[in-house]
Amino acid sequence: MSNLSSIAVPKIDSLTLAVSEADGLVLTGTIASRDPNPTIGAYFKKVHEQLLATKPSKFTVDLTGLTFVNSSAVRLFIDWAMWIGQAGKTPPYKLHFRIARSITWQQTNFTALQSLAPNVIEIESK
Amino acid sequence: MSSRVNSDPPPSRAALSRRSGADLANALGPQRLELLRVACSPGSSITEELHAFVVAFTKLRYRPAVADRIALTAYELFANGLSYGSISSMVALELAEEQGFVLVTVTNEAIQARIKVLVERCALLRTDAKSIYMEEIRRNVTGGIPRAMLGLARIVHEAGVELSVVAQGSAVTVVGRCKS
Repeated sequence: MSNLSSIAVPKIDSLTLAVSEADGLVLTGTIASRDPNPTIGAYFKKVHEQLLATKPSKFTVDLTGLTFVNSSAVRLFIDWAMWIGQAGKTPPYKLHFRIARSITWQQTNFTALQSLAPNVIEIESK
Repeated sequence: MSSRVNSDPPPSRAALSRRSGADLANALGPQRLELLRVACSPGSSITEELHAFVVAFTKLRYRPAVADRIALTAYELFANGLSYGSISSMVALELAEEQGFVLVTVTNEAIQARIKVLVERCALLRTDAKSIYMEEIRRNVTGGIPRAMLGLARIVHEAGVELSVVAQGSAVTVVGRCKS
C-alpha cells in the first residue's frame, strides 16, 4: 500500500493537485508558471519515488481538467516518463494518462510522447 | 508563414526607442483593429496573471478552440520575449484583428545573436513544423539538451498558427497569425 497522501502537495493558485490510492493523481486548472519544476516537478519526483517503492503496475494521472500548460510544464510529464524509463530495462510501472479529447494540447503532446515511449506511457481519451 | 528580416540600415537607438511594437507590426498590414496592448519589464513575473487575463478576454470574444490557440500563442511568445529579450527594454504584447485573423504580436529588443536564432527557428518551423515539434519532444525524452523551441513548435504545430518575424536593428517583432 502506498502512502501518496503523505507527500506534501504544492500550493499553486491556478492548479489543484489531488492524489488518492484509488484514483491516482488528478490535476485540475492550468500551469502557467515560467518555472514549474521546483514545485510541481519536485512533487512528481516524490510521487515517482514512492511508486518505485510500492511497485504498482500502473499509475493514473487524470488531466481531463487541466485546460492549459505551458511548454515548461509539458517537460514535467516528459521528465516523469524519463525517470521511469531510466529505472530499469523493464519499466517499474506505467504512467496511465487520462486525457480529454476536446483539449488540443493534451491530444497533441501525449500522442507524441506515447509514440516515443510506448512501453512507459498509456493514454486513455475521454 | 513568413520569416522576414528588414535589410535597411539599422536606425539609431534613439529612433528605435520612439517606435512602439505597434509601429513595427502595423507595417505588416492595413485594416487592423487593435484589441489589447500590454507592456512590462523583462524582470516581471506577470506571465500567469497575463495568461489568465488573455484567456478570459479571448473566451469572451472567440470560439473556445480559437481562444485556446490565441492564449497558447500569446503565452509562449511573451514568455520567450521575457526570457530572451534585453533586460533594459520592455516586452510588449498586442492582440489585433485583421481580415479574419487574430494577430498576436510580441515586440522586444534583443542582441543580434538571439534575433538570428529566432529567425532561423521560425524558418525551420516553416519547412516542417511537425518534425521539428517531434524532435523537440524526442530531445527531452532522450535526455538531450532542451532548446527553447518547444514553445514555438507548439504554436505552429499544435495550434496551427503562422509565425513571422520582423527585425529592425535590435528590435524584434514576432507575429502569430491565427484564423478566427
